[in-house]
Formats: sequence, C-alpha cells, structure tokens
Amino acid sequence: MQFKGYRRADGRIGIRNQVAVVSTVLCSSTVARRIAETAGAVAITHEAGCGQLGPEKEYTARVLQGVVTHPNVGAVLIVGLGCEQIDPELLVQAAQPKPARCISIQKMGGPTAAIASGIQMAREMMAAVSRAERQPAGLDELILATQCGSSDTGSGLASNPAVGALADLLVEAGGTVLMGETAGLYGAAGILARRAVSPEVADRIFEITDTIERCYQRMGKSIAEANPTPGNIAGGLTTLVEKALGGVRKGGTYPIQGVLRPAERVAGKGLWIMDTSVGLGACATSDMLAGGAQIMAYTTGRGNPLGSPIAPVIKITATEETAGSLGEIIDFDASPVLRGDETIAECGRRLLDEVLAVANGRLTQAEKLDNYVFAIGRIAA
Amino acid sequence: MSAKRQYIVIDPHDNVATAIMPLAAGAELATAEATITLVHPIEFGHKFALDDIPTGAYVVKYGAPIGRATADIAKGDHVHVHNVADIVDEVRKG
Repeated sequence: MQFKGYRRADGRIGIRNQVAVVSTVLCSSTVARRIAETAGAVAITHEAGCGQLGPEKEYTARVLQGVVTHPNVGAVLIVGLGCEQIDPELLVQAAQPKPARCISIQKMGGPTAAIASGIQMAREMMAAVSRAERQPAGLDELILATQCGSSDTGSGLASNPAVGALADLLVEAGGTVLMGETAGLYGAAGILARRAVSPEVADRIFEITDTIERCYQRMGKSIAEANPTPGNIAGGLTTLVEKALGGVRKGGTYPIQGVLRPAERVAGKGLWIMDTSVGLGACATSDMLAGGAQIMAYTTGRGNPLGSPIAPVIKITATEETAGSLGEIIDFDASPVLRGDETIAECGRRLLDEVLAVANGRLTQAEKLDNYVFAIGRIAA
Repeated sequence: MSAKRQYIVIDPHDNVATAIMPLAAGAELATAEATITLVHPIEFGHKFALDDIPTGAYVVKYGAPIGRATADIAKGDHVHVHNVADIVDEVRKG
C-alpha cells in the first residue's frame, strides 16, 4: 500500500507542506502568531525558551529542533526576541537545506517592523513550498503517533483496540508506531517490559514508570491509589492493570523496540514508547510529532478538539453520541464496534484507509477548524 | 443472519468478555465454544466470565492478566471488584 507525500532532502517523507513560523521564546510568540495569521502559515508558539536549566533547556531545544526539521514542514521562519536561551541561528542551521530564516525583534527595531518583515518572508516561503509535488511513498515510511484524551468506556473497549489493530497493520507493513502517556503505562509496566526487545529496554520501561509514580507520590497521591477512579469502577473497570492495558492497547501487540526521551527522534521501525511524562496531552502530542511522527491517531470518548500545526490528528470515538453531537471534531466513528456491527480487526482496517486518505492530503476536522494547539511541557522529575 | 454481537472479547486468550449493551440475568449467549448463561445482569462496559475462574487464578483481558480471582468465579458470573483483586504490584515486578 502506498500514499503520496513530500520527499525531503534528508530522505524523510512529509504528508503536509507547512510553512512554520516558530517562536523561540514566549516573548516572541505574539509576533510569530501575527506573522503566521497574515501570511497563511502556521504558528508554533509556546511558553518555554528562556529561564530554563539543564535537562529542561535541552528538552525545549529538542522539541523545537524536531519541529523545524519535521518532514511535514516545508519552510521555517524563526522569530526570536534577541536575548533568549534558544539560539535562532542554530534552528535555522538545523532546518536547512529547507528554506529557513530567522528574525529578531530587538534587531528589527521592535514588533511592528518584525511583523512586517516576517510577513514578507513567510509569503515568499509559501510561494517556495507551493512548488513541491507529492511523490509516492510506502507505509514503511509512515510514523504514527497514538494518544488518547477525554476517554470513556468506549475508549478502552473499542477505539483504543481499533487503533491497536491499525498499529499492528502498520508495523507489519514495516512502519513505525509511537505510544506515550507514561503515567498510563505504569499499571502495565511489567507486561510491557516482557514485550521489550532487550533487558535494557525493559529496564527503561520500569525506570520511566517508576519516575512518574514518584512524581505523583510527591504531589500527594500515587497512581495506584488514584486508579481506577470511582467513575472507572462504575463504568466496569476493575483494576489499574486493566485500565492501563486499555490505554496501551493503542500501540498494538508487537514487541517494544525502545524507549525514547520526550521529543527524541525515533530512529527505527516497529513499536516504540516515548516518555511523554512531562505535561498535558497537548505537550505529549508535540513531543511525539517533534520525534518525527507525521500523523496521529487520537482516541476520545467525550470529544477533544485538539489538532496540531505540524501534523494531522485523526479523532476517533467509539461513542455514538459523541460522533453525532460533536461531529465537528470527530474524523472517525468506531461506534459500529460497540453496536456489534463491526469487529475490532475490521475497524482497524477501516482506520488504515482513513490514515492513507489523510496522508494523501484529505483534511482532518481539526485542520478544517484550524484548531491547533502546540505546547512544550515542563520536566517535573 | 445471527443475532447482533452483544459483547466484546478483545483477545483470544481472554477469559472474560465485556458487555456492549445491558444484558439480563439468564440471557443465553453463544460464544465460539459454547453457550453461556449469564448468572447476573451485566451492565454496558462490565465483564462476565467466559470460563470458570477458580480462586487465585488470573482474570485475563487484553490477552494479559488484569487481576486475580478472590472467589470462585463461575462461567457467566459478573467479574468485578467484588471478586477480583488488582495485581499491579505483582505485574510491576515483571
């Protein structure tokens, strides 16, 4: 099975061709947003980029580097303030040979001049990327990120297993799948560790889940104490292990190749865990996309509108009411599984068709709505 | 055509199924191997046993143990917090 995407100079394949206007720091985010809005580009803004130490500073740099080198991004305009930690020039160098430039609000003489110059540059980049044509690519070149948010009973029972069936199909085709949500892995850590390709990978699974559990304990409530919640139990979930397995089912059933740091570039095929423990779902989304995923499958029971400026996010629900009343934000209806009309395997194959259509350019609901969220987490550990 | 599927078995190794609609006590469900008669009413999202699960044995869903039976569970019984203990500490030891 094939799709058509944008072949980049580093050999990777993009399924979108965005011009990204990237702020290096919170202080330049408004200027970056104004430039992107006027030029029709996408803004990548966040609250990090300065006043950060050690691993947190490295993490911010890693996320931004992942964004500017991302195959879905055809050109990059970096908007800096001038005195921040993140070096705009380094990001330009990382992004090249794709069109990449940077501007500094301080050097430009203020936001007004920076916005005017930035709009001009971004418009030139829009014209430059428009010359790219889609080329054939294989499923083995696709990296799928998986995530859930606003979950309900149908998530663990139908939509997560359907995404797992999709993940298995992709892995069988030589592709790559990322799963994260470290706190959600905790209850299944031992089971995941047995699926690790080596003892070192198994140790890393225990390491990241132990670290997140210690964070929860410091905040006053361990993961095991807090889960399953009374609402989970009323909904039929019996144990934390069961809840965790319902979440990790999104990654499918294949061996786990390795554990990546948040926003670390994935360097192999098959199923990988990314330690997306540092923030909300929006941060985890940015982490996995910065790691190189071109597309995300996002299961939601009650409905979450989150989309990303750098990759399509396919919203999947198995809850019929959500698919109906929140159709504006739902791309894929997995409720036939819960009605007994479709098996999980059939739903997974239908999802693969959806992924291919979106990879080929069909817009997701979040893209139609421009409902983009980008965030960089803070390291709590 | 057979009747609509009323429950989900996520993995072939599972010894529980999850109801996808409210099921009445006494309902007879045809599975791949046998017919199961429900002992209790089962709400949407709740589990019933596909096999007898003796005290101390694993309850298996998603192809993996999710808990340990704290009482003898008969085929067709409701499987939930009243007869299953979490095994999170055991599972974490790998």
